[in-house]
Amino acid sequence: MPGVYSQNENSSDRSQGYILAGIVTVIFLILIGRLYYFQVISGEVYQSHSARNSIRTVTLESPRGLIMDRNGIVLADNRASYTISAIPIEISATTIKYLADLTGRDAKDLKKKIRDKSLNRFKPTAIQREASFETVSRVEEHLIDLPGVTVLIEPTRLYTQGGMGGHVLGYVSEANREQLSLLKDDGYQSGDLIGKSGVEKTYERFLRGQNGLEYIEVNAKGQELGPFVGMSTILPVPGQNVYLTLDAFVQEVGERAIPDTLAGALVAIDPTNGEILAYISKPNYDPNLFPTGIPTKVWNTIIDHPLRPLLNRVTNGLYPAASTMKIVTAAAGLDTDLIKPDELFQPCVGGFRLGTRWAKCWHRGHGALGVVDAIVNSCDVYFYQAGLRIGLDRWGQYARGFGLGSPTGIDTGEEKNGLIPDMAYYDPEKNRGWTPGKMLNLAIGQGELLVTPLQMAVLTAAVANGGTLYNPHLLHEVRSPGGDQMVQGAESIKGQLPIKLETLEILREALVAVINRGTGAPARLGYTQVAGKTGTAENPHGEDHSWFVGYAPADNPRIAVAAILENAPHGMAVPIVRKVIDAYLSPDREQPTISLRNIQDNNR
Amino acid sequence: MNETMDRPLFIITNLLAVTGVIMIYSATRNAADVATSQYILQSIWFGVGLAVMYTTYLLPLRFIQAITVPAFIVVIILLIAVLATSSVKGSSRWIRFGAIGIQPSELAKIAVILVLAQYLEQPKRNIRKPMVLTTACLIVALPVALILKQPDLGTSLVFGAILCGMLLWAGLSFLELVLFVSPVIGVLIAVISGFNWMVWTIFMLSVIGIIYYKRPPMPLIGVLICIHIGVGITAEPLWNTLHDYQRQRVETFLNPQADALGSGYQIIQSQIAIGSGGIFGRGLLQGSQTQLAFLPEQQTDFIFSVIGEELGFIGSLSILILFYVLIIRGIIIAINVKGRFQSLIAAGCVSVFSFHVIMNVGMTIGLLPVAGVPLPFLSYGGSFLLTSMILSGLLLNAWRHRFEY
Repeated sequence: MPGVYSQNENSSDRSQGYILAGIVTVIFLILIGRLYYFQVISGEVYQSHSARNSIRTVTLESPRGLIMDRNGIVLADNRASYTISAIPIEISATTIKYLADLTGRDAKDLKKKIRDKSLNRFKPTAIQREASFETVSRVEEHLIDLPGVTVLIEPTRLYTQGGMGGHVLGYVSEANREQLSLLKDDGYQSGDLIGKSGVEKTYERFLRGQNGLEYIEVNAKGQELGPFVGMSTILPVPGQNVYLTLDAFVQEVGERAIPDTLAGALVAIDPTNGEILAYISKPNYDPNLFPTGIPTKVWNTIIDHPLRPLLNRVTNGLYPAASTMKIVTAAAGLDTDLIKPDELFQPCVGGFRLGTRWAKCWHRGHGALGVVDAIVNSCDVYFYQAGLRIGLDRWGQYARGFGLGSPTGIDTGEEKNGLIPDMAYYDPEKNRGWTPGKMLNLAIGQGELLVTPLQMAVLTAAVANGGTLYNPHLLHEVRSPGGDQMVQGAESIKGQLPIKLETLEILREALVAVINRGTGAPARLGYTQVAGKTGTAENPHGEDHSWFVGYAPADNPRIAVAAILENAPHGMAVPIVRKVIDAYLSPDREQPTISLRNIQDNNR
Repeated sequence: MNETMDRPLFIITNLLAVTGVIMIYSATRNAADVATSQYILQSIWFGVGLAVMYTTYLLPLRFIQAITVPAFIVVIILLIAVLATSSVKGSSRWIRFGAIGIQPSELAKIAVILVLAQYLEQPKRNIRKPMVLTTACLIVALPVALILKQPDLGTSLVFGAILCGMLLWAGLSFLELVLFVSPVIGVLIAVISGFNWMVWTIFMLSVIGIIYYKRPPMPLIGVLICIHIGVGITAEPLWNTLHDYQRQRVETFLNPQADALGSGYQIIQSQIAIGSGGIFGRGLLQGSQTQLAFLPEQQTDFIFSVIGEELGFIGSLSILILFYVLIIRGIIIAINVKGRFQSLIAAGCVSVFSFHVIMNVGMTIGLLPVAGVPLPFLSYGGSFLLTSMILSGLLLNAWRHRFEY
């Protein structure tokens, strides 16, 4: 036993050291013995047992959650997609030939693809995605003669209504490299679908399920023997179902009402809570093209399309508000008492002289008008005068107070701010100095003023509901596959219109009059009172754009709509909005019922 | 015998590290999502490590003696910094200096060895005095507590090995060491047996047997008995105050087979990989288990299974022999250096190497639980490679100063 050491003598360490070395030796012998057992004695057992990675892990893709409208009508579903894959190291030349026969492909091509040097030779490589059911059954039938070949059945996205709601639903496609490295910790793997835009992107966290894992035993020839005993399968967990505030019927009516040859946008909002009922951007595209990889040809036709189908005009289309802006100009004037409700302005004689400039009205001459009649007739001369009284600063203040020039706060996707210019904008150094003439343009919604259709819909809804600017939202609720409510979409308020109640009353009176005896007559409905305002945006690059914003019923509004059609004649948007309002309010409309069976079937 | 450089040690260190870089290349070349290739990073760390190892080898003895306490303090501050910065976003073991990430828990191994060596070196510190034992334990307990908080159980265990090894070297006999760690064993037995009083009583009787046989000094017996009774009384109530997930963690550690989908899967894959290597292996870059990356993070904790699969029994045996020679060289150095300080440092280094190699290889071949202990020089990871090379440097340094006190 070692005693207390002298300071410079370690000789008594020796016995401890020898014991220690002995213990280490014994342990190392045990380790080596175990290795010898594994690698030499049972090496052959292991080699045949595991010659070709005896356990193969197969990812069981989870179905994505469904997207439904407020009534449970399925907008985005899942369907089976078959992928035939080959593991390069396991597949022989004869097998490749055989596989070529079965799939009807050129054997040389197939060989080239499988023998590609850049592939990981040990991993299944997809050789035919979206294989037809016939091809798959032929291959499955002969799978035993096709070592190294696997058939994967994966759920992929199916947008049941074709291109309907394409811009609002967005689309999914395979996660790219960048996303994969960003989201590795969340379990995303190469080949996984991920929401790339719209609802699919915003609510990815609900829609995405959890992939499962199956351990498959494979024999030395690369043939699958079945589940590996001792490793239990992890079942995939389906994603949660997202119910949108959209009304598929209203959406469909709106989409049909806009001719396919035109570009435009239409948004319908429930003014009592900001729920979006219809969200249309035309032309649209078929989101079904994306989940399985879009062919270059098709992609090019979409990209080169002159009307730019990929542009989401609801949130990212920027237009001058045109005469619909007169609502804001009138509100600013009335609220600041710069306009008296019954004061008649200088008569309209088809134009207005400001210095040397002669600013025209759209009409030959309206005569002397009060504010309500000016809105009803959309008289430019009246609003030129109003604009000059109000001035840029105050006018801009009100425009911003009506939610213009800033994001609406919609829950999905990116949106443009639009532009409400202020004095700083008119910087002479940027070649755009301020002149009073510019106020004339702004007052009637032209000039350096840009709004999105969604902003106009929110503005209209606020006028309709008594002054509350809601953040528009699409999320109605989220339900688990079993049907339990997980999340409920909540209304949120962006602010209040900065105007007095009397001002609002006058505006609403005028908007009703627009329908009953003015430019909005084509929006009239027999069973309910519609209110609204038309507009024609001057387009320096071609034909004008046609605007209409409106709501109904006028005394108890349930729907507010904003629509714009590009390069369309004056008033063309009006009957389209009428159809949408009718689709929502019509007493003849059958109430759609939720088909629970339909939903559960889709969740399998 | 007048050589200043211990060539075998130097050569083995480099051989192992170069093998590591090659195997990491093999294990990661198919990983598409790695930004900078890990084998390149490892090579850079190896280059840095080589320079640091050589510098360590050249350091004057007095210098090492002077920096023990400051190094310890710096490491403790770094460990606290890790906890402070990681509290925001989950668990982390890293502290970043620009582009370089360092694991202070690795550097802590060196600091603890140095401080313990300096503390135990002085002859007045009789290892059998309860005060000395307690102080030695506290020196180790401080960094361990901070590392457990990260939480990093595997690394914490290494410090247990350092403490045991150095206490043994400082004069504690093996049976005394058993007595010393018996409270810990007692807790483990209690938890495993589900707080069965019968089992615990039998264990206590054997402890008393050892005490009777060894007859350590009375104060030590008193302390031991007190600790045991304290542990016996408080273990069960304390266990019951733990959260479910905490208990689960301990139970998984003690019985990894229960967690078949996690570590159990790794063990099976690891054994298949090693077994399929056979005598000569499947050849570099040819192992299907490795190339398919069946083992998550096989370039770190499971690098030995990559070696087993691709280089076979010949390869894994060679690696084990290299480690064996390294450890035995370490023990020889510890025996032969004159200065007690250097001798204790050598013992500490040997403890770290032995613990890591035995735990890691034992884990890969299914003899020991999966504890997240990497293989020195071979596993991917800059901090640990650097630490291992500094430890080699300390061994070389001890040999260089073997005639000094």
